[in-house]
Order: sequence, then C-alpha cells, then structure tokens
Amino acid sequence: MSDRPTEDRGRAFEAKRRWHEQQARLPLREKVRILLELQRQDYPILAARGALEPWQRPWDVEP
Amino acid sequence: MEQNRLGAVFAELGSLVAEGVIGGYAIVGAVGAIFYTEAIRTFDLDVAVSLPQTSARAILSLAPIYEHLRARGFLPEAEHVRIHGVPVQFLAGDPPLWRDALATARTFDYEGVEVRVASPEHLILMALEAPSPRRRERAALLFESGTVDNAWLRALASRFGIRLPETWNV
Repeated sequence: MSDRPTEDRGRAFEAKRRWHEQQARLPLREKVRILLELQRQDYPILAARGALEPWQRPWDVEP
Repeated sequence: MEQNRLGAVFAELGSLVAEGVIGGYAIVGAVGAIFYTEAIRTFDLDVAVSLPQTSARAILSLAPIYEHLRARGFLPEAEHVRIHGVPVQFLAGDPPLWRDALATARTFDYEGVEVRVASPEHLILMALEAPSPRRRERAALLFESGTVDNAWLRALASRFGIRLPETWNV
C-alpha cells in the first residue's frame, strides 16, 4: 500500500524548498522591493500591538 | 523632491571609508542576509565598522561617525542615524568574529554602488552567537540558501567557539 499522505507531504516540502530557492535568486533590487513591501504590510499590525520602537517604521526609500 | 534610494545609503557608507572616518565596514543582520537569501522583513540596517587605527584609544567611540553624518544632515534617532530615510545602526567592537567578518566581507554591486557585506558563514555565526527566534530563523535561511561553504562554516564555528545546530549535519 502506498503511503499517500507522506508522498504528498514530501512533494509539498520540495515545492516549498524550490520556492524559497527561487526567491533567494531574485535580483537584489527586487528583494529590497519585497523587503519594503513587507515593512508596509507588517507595520500596522506590529504598531497596533505596541511591538515597535518609534524609529521602527517603513523606510522612506525606493529600492 | 528627489526620492531617497537605498543605493545612496550604501554610497554614504563608502564615503565614510573614503574620508577616513571609519577603517572599513560590512553590512550585517537581516539586510546583510538578503544578499544571499530571500527577502526578510527588518526595520533597520546594521553595519559593523572598524575604526581607524589613529591612536591607542582605550574606548571605541562612534562619535566621529555621528559627527560626520550630522554635518551631512543625517541625524541620530535612538541608537541609529537616519540616512536617506533608513535607520542605520553602527556597531563597533573588537570581538574576533566581528573582526574576521570585516576582514572577509564580500563586495557586491547594488545599482552601480559598491557595498561590503559579511559572508553568509559569518552572518550565520553572528545570528547564532546571540540567538533569538528571528535570528535562528535567519541563520537557517542562510544555511539553506545554497551559498554556504560548509567546511568553512564548520572551521569558523570551531575557531570562534559557536555551536551549530545538530540537525544541520554540517
């Protein structure tokens, strides 16, 4: 009998690993663009939790 | 008004070296990591610096860096200096791992600007030296980035007395 859940999990992990590798190989400027986007996305959530220092805010900068 | 660009921040770091304010620098922390890994969210840019060997100063002082940058219009904000919109934290110290990270830093081209970045092996060891959940995650991302020389990482970890996670099988 095949171990279908294990195979599916293995494929999912492999796909995830490949995705991380592809992200790591993006041009630096694109990775910085993503970093700035992550700052904008996370900031309101972290600020609402009171988890940030005053200097911790999205950068006023372009990639 | 012209929009700030990250390359301009890196250019300011180069100017600090060219003008003799610092002896050298290497980007470390999360921004250093993204030169090797996928993007990681951070709110500051950590820069390890060596100070010029002009005197046998007993205390390493960052004051000359702050003074130089203030004269350029970049003001301190908490323990950072905001340069072209980016809070930059300068970290000076003399632990052997950091000295080695500066000595072996790699040069990248970012949009036509030269930038010095600590090696992925040094970034891993720095993250593991003072671990937090985020730093451990960053170390793992670096380890899995495909940019790490395992033999060199092992040798550095042994030299600087830092334990690597057993699950890594380095």
